[in-house]
Parts: sequence; structure tokens; C-alpha cells
Amino acid sequence: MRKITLAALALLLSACAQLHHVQIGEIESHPAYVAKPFDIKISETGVNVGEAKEIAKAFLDEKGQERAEAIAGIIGLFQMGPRTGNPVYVKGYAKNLIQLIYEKCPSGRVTGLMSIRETRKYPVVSGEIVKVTGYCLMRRDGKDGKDDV
Amino acid sequence: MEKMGRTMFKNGLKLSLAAALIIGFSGCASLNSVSLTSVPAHRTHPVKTERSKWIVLGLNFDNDFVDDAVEDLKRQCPNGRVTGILTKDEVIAYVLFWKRRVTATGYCLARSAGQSAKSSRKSASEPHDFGSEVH
Repeated sequence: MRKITLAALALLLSACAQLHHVQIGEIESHPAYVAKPFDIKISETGVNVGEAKEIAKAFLDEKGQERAEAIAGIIGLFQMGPRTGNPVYVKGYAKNLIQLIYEKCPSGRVTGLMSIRETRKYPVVSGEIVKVTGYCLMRRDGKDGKDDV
Repeated sequence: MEKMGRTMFKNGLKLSLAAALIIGFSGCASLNSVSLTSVPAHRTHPVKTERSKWIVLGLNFDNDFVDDAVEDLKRQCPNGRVTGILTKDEVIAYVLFWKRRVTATGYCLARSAGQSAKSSRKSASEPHDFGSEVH
């Protein structure tokens, strides 16, 4: 019994990863430059109202269950439409992505950008992730600066 | 009569098994996303990379299989630019398991040896300077 509980817990706590979108940008290689890899990960918590409702219903009486159903229905009305993953409540969580890329690569010579949109699913909540990997081109002679960007 | 019936039953069983196997192993493909970067005029040196992962019963704990796709394209075009990249993210579903596949195809615009040496000497040269592309 203990083994089953442990296995169930391990399964619940290890998030299932779901890939939504992959995009690869142009890739440049130059003998005078060294390509230094970088990666950026931005994540926000998503909420699955349907799962939350089901869990709440397990602990509520009949009247409470009806209320939970009604609340989930109302919230659901505001979350209609096409989407990837679960809805998040911070709408601009990925808006500083370009700024973060510039922080990782101050010279601005960015190449081989791969953007990945994925979800890490846990019970009720999820991690709504935007991951960007790429290369920052840096001069071999070390004369790197913002002036020649 | 009884023997004939048994043979027919056996044949029917074999046929059902074959049909089940065919259905089980012919996957249903669905496309998740497609993206394309600007396509070059000279498309003589295509490059391709494919990354895939088998997922059983929907249990997938990471998407790291796509991570080295860019590195692979870069390796195929060591001194040039990979452009016109078509990235396809698809799922081929079988019974109880599926294959997640990311394919990226593009074109390598290689630099000529002369241009490469010249640009190495010139400190002001930028990596996006692909004036004379050689294919």
C-alpha cells in the first residue's frame, strides 16, 4: 500500500510536459565570431478550473457541489477561446523577453534563436513556460561593444 | 462441416488480428505548429534536422529532445547562414502511444573562402555580411 501511495505521489509531483510550439530562427556562423549559447525561461502559473472544481466537489456537500459547478461555469465563460495550456492571471508575463535577450547578449548579435512554448502540468496548476535558446556572437579578438551593433 | 466452420473461424481470427495490427501501427498524424523564416533565392544546399520522442500513455516529463536541433543545423553549415527554415512540430498517434516529431529544414548559404578570410581580417565586418553567397 505504501509503495502504491509513493508511486502515486511521485507520479503526481513529477510534472507532465506538453509541447505547444517550436520555432527556429536563422542561424549564422562566422569564423571571426564565437557563438556563446544562452537560454531564457519565463514561467507563469496556470490554473485548471475544471480540475479545481472536481477536487472541491470531493470535499463538499451536495449544495456546495452545485455552487462549485456554478462558479466554475461562470469562470469558464471568461476563459473561452483558443489558447495553449491553462489560463494565467498575469497577461504580460512574457513581454520582457526581448529585454532579457539583450541582457544575455549585450552586443545584440543574436542568432539561432529557438523559441519553445510548453506546459508543465501538475494537479490543478501548471507552469506555462516560454523558453528561448540561442547564440550570442562574440568577436574572437575581444573587441566586442554595443557601438558596432 | 465442423472442420470447415473451425477453419472459417481461424481465418476470421487471423483477418481480425491483421486488421488490428494495421490499425495499431498506422499512425494518425496531426500538425501542431509550423513556422518559416525568409526563403533565399539560391536554394542549392538544403540542410535538415529531425528530433523525435516516443511518448507512452501520455507520460512525458520533458521536451529536451528539441534542444539540440539548432546545434545540428549549425553543424551542417559551419561557415555560413542557415535561412529559409521551416519548422514543423507534429504528432503521430498510435494506439496508447505516440511520437512527437520536430523537423526543421532550411538552406545553407555558405561563404566563399576568400570572403571568409577577408572578413576575418577586417575587424569592422559583421556576421550578417553575406554579400556574395557561394553555393
